[in-house]
Amino acid sequence: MTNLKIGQAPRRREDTRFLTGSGRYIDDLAFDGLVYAVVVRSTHGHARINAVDISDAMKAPGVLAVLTGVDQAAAGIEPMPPYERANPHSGEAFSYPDQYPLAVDVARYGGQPVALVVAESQNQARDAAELVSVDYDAAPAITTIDVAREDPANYCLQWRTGDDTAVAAGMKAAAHVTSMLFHNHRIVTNPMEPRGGVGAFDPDSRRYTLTVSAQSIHNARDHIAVSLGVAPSDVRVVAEDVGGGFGSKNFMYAEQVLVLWAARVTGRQVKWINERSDGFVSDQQARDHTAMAELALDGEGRFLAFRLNGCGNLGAYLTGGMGRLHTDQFAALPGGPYIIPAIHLTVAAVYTNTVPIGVSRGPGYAESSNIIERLIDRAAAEMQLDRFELRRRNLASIAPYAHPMGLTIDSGAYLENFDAAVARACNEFENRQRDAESRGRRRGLGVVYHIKATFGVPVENVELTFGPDDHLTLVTGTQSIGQGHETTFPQILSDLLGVPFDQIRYCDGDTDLIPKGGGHGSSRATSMAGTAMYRAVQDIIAKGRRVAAHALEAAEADIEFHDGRFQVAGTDRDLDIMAVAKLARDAGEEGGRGLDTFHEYIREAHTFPNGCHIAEVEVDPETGTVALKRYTGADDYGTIINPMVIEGQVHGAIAQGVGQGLMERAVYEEGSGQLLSGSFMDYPMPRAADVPSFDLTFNEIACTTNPLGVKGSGEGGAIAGLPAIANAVLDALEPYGVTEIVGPATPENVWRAIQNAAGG
Amino acid sequence: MAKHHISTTINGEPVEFLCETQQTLLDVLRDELGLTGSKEGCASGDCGACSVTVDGRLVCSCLVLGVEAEGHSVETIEGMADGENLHPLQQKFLEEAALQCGICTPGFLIAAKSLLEKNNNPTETEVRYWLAGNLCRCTGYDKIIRSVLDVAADMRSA
Ligand code: FES
Ligand code: FES
Repeated sequence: MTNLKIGQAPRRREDTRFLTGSGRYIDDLAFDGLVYAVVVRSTHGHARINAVDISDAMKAPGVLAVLTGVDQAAAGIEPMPPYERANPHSGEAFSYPDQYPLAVDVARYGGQPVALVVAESQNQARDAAELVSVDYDAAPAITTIDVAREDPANYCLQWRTGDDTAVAAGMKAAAHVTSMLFHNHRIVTNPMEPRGGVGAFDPDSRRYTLTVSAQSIHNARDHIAVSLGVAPSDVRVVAEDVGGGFGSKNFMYAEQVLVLWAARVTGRQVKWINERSDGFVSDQQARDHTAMAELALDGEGRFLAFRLNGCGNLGAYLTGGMGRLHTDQFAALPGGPYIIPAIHLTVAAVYTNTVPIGVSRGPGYAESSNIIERLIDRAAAEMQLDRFELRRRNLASIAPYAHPMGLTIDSGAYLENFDAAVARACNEFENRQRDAESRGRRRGLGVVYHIKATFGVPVENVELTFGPDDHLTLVTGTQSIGQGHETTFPQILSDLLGVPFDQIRYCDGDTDLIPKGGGHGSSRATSMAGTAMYRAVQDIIAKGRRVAAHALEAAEADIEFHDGRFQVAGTDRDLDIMAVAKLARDAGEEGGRGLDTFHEYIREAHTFPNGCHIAEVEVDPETGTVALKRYTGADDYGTIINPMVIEGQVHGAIAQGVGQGLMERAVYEEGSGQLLSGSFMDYPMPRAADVPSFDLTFNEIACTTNPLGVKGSGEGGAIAGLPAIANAVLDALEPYGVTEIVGPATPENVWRAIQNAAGG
Repeated sequence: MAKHHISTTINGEPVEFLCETQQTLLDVLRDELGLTGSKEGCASGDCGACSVTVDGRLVCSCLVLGVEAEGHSVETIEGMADGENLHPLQQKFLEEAALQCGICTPGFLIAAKSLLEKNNNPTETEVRYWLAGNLCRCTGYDKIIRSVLDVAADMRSA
């Protein structure tokens, strides 16, 4: 029964259940009278749907219902609304096509749901799904941004921001301007647990319940309700253990509406679980962004101006907060932590016949960091400056730093982190380089300084309840899907309130438990819920002081609170917080709520996790094979609640980032719009043998805009990984005259780059 | 379709079950026997989330038919701890937080146990290659690898 402090590393409470195979993931849960749904998906990237013939499927054994776009209209199912429908800065509405849960008349991407088959067993549903016959007229599919841009009708948004005049002046005054074209290639996030859900409908209360594998359930609830044509209060969304999300389970999905509708139609609980092959063509994918960028430098290499013209591929529809991703996250910190006095951005996003794009660890910043970091290496090469020194010269060394695009970065120690990472990464690099040379290999280093501003849902709430059994229960609208909040949030409360860790219960994942919630996304959970917890605790202490003063017959001003006890100053008279909570409850204080406290926190400032990451690769020029040999990071995630948990978060993000840098790429066939990389056989992800151990240090520069000082640690590596790998490979291949690698540094891409540079 | 009657041993206990021809061992474990610790991440042998051993050999249970278990001995994650006592690998994963969402964890544990039964002195490279059949999107593998190496060292000094 011990109290914990912030900064300690208690073992994760959730782990015993995961380690013994007792986790409660969606596919592990038992439901009464379950029936099974299988989604019939468009087999074309773009096609007119003339008819959907369900007659054979309806006759198949065990089939209860087959739902189509025609039924959807009759049932009053509405389109799934994007979460953000206008540019938050200009107010300009985004242009977007209606996205119904089932395609109506036209399929805009391969994988789009066309029908839902519900049967008594999973196999019956699968067999019947094969019998649904869809009459398509295939149409040419647009898969790339460049082609989509040719038709103004494909644009979702176009927006210009920043200081064009100052940028023009900076370009004019420059000793050198480096320009580069970028394509940040598309990835499939692939959390290891496929998406799935169980829909239920109670005809008496007319309420829907969706049990689901998702990561931001309040937001999903509100938008699922719109699509069902009911009030949010008529929908309950529950998530138990979730096997990873990383952003891809953030926004709502068609299947979530479909199983609820199917539950209403069949009167049964309807379960759908994606297979991996479904996930590849239906999970929101990520990145896919092109840009033309120019960086102006003076004779000493100081950055004068930065012009960026970017365009994102949204896929076939506008999902969730993607409009805002382009106008907020991507536009928030162009140029990263480097001082650039003049910045101008042109931001655009277009539709194509590809799986809709959503978010994945570090969205927006991953694109903008890749641009500035590769541009810096290119500028260094062109100006024959040292790329480390060029970064040092331009890194912001002041905090707070008012970024020209408007945000104020409250804290940070960029130079310190940069120097720390460089010192460790470069230590004996020449020896390793020589050793590689002797084996016919080339070693290279790629350095990146990542930074992001945490966004995500700007409201969070917590409910703290003192139970009669001497337990404190925390209910939060954030959601833990692997980040360990079940441990770290009670740890925070144990520190702030002096209540033993074991007496604190944690609840999340149920929209009926708490009115709002932002789930998790954009590394927001601890800064948002942490602030809400901190402020709730201040309320509790204030209330407790009044109650304790009364009970101890002292003046309220004389009551001190520390280590879970209210004490009359200078005496040994005191009361434990649990006792005070009981007194407050028994006395009916605060309208009977006693010390129980609800707090809603509305974001007042962003946080800015940042750090320097350096990849060291070894390239075999004969085969183009790239091996990641070392990876060094010096990161600032603010105050660290639990170092053991943070390390893991950072490791995972690095693996994803280097995965994009080394191997991952979602590839569509031009014309047909077929996803060619639709399984783990065509879409490699980093495995244990593809990555080294990571050399990380944490510089705890407390964030000054939230009371816990936390910044959020989930994404740095995913932002830094791609440019770190690319810069390292180009460094290694410098003697070959290779100046660009397009896409991941696969053996083929690297080998071709070497051949092309040699004029072969 | 007539179901097959299969007699097998699961986690040391004799078990009989009925299954259809096309059901995988993973389907049988999860759907017929309620052993949901083995997970389906791909159903194609690429992710290792369904790892079990059959007669001590590491396999992807999504690639084995239920009927093939006839007369064989299957070990799953549910049999790894000894009652309340975690297996040293489970204990080390807990101590080092070598897991996050936990969905891949049973597969890693089964695969790591199978490695250490063959080789209690693996190099880091050997551990990384042995576990390369298991995908994890959360952890970047670092703590998993370190945990396995630590357990191997503990086993050798025990
Ligand atoms: S589910 Fe068997 S290997 Fe992925
Ligand atoms: S812990 Fe989540 S996939 Fe491995």
